[in-house]
Amino acid sequence: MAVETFITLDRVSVKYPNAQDLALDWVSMSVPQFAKVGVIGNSDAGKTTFCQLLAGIIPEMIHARIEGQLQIDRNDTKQKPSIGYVFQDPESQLSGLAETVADEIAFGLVNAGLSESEIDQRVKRIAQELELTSILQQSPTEISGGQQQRLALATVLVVEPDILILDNPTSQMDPRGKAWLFEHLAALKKQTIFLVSDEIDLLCEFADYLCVFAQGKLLAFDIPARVINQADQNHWPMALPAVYQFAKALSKTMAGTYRYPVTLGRLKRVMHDDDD
Amino acid sequence: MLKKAPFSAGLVHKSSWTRHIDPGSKFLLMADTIAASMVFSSLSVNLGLILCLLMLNFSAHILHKSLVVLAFSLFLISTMLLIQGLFYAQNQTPIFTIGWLTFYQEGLQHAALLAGRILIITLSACLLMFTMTIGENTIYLEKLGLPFRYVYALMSVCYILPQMHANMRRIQLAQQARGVVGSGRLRQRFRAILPTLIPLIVMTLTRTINRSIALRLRGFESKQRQTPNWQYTYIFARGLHYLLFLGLLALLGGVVWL
Repeated sequence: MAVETFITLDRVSVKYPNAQDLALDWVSMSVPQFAKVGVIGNSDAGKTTFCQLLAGIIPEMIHARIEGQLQIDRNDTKQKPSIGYVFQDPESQLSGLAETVADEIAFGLVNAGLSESEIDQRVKRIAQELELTSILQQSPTEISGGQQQRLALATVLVVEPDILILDNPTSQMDPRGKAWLFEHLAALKKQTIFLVSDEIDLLCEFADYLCVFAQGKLLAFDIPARVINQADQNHWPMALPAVYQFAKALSKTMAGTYRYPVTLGRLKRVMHDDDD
Repeated sequence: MLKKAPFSAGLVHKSSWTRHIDPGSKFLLMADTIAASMVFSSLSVNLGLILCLLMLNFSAHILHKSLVVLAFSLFLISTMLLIQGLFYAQNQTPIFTIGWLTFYQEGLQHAALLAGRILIITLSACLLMFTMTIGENTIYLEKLGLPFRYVYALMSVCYILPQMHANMRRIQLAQQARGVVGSGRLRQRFRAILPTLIPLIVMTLTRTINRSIALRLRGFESKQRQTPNWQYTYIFARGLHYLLFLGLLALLGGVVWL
């Protein structure tokens, strides 16, 4: 079945005023609807610029010169797709006017003009999904960094956006919290998700596609197994997943290819096939 | 005071008389005291206003919080005293000398007046900020018909000092963890504050930019926004409004006619 393209970038370049180098340099990709895309790269690779461009923050709110074309198709309802953006620093995400976590989650819904009962219902549902129910009446400034990051995600998910962009949303979470969040995001089926993260192991398990940025250039955009194998062969400066390293150490390639697996499921299958 | 607040049930208001006074009266009181300090350019009137506001803050059980905010504005006041004391255009009468620096009476008097006004603004703002919740103030102003973007700007200005203070504490704790001594003698404390200033300013600016982006993405400027239908009750609201508004008119009239 042919996969329908939802977001298309055609030779897109971005340059900030007074900057010498391009922040994004000749980036092209086609992303299907409901795809989960992991975004990786070192500092100043262009990840945040890429996310802000997708969200429309560039050039609407941050001025920059853009060349090339970015096209986001309209969904079935013929309405412009809505976009949710989660910042790396969760405090930046918060309105600063809410006294309670519940107020903060409700902020976007109040702005959208929803009825009180609808707001109440949606806030409770999202709080339950993100395990925030017990802190709904606490102040957003008095909860832990990890809880704040979950709250930041809740403020975006509650408005049910078509496209979800998350810029390093697990930076203040403990390992268990990170794994939990990745699992939760993987279970979302109605959104196209772009997730910037350094958690390469979790990202390989989560993503349908990985894109690797370096100095504004898109080095790769493909399924995780191809990207990671390519990264190792070309010695790209990035971390490799533990599963990949383990498989490589044991010389366990996937059937019919010379590529090593990058997810636990595929590794298990490779080991199982070898046992047979 | 809080009759129905589905998302604010956890609010705890301090038990004091100020909980029965509406935000409008507190805004008007703020306007009155600031206008009075502008109209009467005398140190003794300003000192009297400061004392009155200190007593009001004390009776509202918020003096400790207010003093923390005041301490935060002391840096601004001390630079003002230094610069005006040395370089005020009408400086004529030397009052004392430290090394090769000569301070002048006119400059110090002028700086003291400006400092008094800063203290009056801060203390009256504290009375508004610390006796009301930010949400209550926001809803009140929205219900008056003020567009939400202006309400937000006003609230941001009112609450920027406490927020900067919280950020500074966070940076200081991080620096103490890295071995910077943040306690002890005044000199040591002052030296410890200096390295926090640049990260504090950068952090505040970055957060402000990111927050403005996040707010726009969250429909901050949406025309569909509904003012939350939460009810608060206050006592003497109308009477206080008339009284304080008349006081404000009298003060402004004084500027024109005197």
